[in-house]
Amino acid sequence: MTELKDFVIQTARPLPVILLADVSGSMKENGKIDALNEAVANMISAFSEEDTTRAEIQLAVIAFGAGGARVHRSLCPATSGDWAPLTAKGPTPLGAALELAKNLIEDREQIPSRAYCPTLILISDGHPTGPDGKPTTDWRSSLQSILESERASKAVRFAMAIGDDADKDVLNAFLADPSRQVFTGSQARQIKQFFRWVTMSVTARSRSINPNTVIFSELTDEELDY
Amino acid sequence: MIRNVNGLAVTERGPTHRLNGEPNQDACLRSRGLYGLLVVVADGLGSRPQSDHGSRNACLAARDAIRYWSANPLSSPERLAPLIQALWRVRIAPVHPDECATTCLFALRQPTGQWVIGGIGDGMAAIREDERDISYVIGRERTGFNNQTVGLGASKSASDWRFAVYPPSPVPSVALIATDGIADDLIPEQLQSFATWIAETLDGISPRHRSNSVRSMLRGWPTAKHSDDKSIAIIWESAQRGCTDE
Repeated sequence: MTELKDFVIQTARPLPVILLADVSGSMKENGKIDALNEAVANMISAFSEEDTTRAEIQLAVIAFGAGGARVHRSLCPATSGDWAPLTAKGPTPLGAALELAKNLIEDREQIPSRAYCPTLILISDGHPTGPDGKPTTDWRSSLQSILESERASKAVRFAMAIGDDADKDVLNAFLADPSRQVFTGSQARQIKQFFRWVTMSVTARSRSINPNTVIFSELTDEELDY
Repeated sequence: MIRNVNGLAVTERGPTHRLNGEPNQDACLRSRGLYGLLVVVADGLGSRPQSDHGSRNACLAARDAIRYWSANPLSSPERLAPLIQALWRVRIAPVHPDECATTCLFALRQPTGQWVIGGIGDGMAAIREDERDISYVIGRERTGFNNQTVGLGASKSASDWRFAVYPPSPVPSVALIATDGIADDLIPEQLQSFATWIAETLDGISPRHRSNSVRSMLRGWPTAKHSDDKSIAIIWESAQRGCTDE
């Protein structure tokens, strides 16, 4: 017998989170890649424990380093699968990573129009390079393509600069909002704090009446520490 | 061919508003007059403090506008946009439009058998003219994401409105309109079957029990973690049985 459920999508509306992670060789220094792995694992765990949400938090990870940019974790519910740690090696091909992110957001099969606005997180400790390791500005056209696209431009963006070598101009351009600041830090603790902040913003959105309402939580250092 | 023309409009407060003791920000209306049979749904934008006020008055403004508009059969449906807008502003005063922005979707089945369907904002407005296909006036082509919408009080462009006119169909038609609390969860490829199913289901229920039946369907909405208010309205034609007609 035909029932209402035969005509209705039964999965919750998705709230996609896409992490663009710099895994260039310099991320091996000072335990940065280990801190990043631990912080992402904690974020996934926090997302998975959110049982009061009005949306299904989904996570994709795009890594950029040796061999270019690649999808390290396909977009899927935060509750699915184990976290496979990232390894650091090679240059910083940010432009290719931005292209992948844009293509993912524009893909309506992966992110349907019933989804809430995606969150896009960029974390980097260096200057963008091409696949050959030489400095490049190709990321500008990739970023412009995101900022001008119908869907990707609506993503809520967060950025973190790790260490003094990070190119803050690049990260500020990524935020494209003079009223917002790039989160900066050089130690493992600050990487974890950044992810704690992002996690709280995403989960607050997922609990709100309208999960498209962007919430940039103002938290003290103590609140950000695990 | 003489047909029965039936209409129903139902709104149900979503789980979040029920839990928080907050009002339904959706509204709906079913009205019959010289203009024919009209159904309207409106979804007050969630971030606005008086969106329930906006949505209720959007339904009434649409009815008033259609009453005036219908007096001239040669008037184009696009004329309805400024009319609904102006009547809505009169009705919501002294509240500022920014504080009660809302979507407004309607379907009108005129006494001639002609259909006029349209509105502004997210949600769905569609008509099934034959057994095989369904035409969207509003809904399927959305480019952005959930809960991002234009509406009365949140639009400055006449191009945000959509209207379509459909001539009388040789087979009984069904018009469906719904707010995005419903529209976003319907499987697009199943919409034609859904329109047929709901019309047949309602046809098999006595008129005085139809609203409660749909309300209980909305309360038990099968999408996980659904939270929105939900409104749906339908006008359906059926082969005449007995003496009931418009």
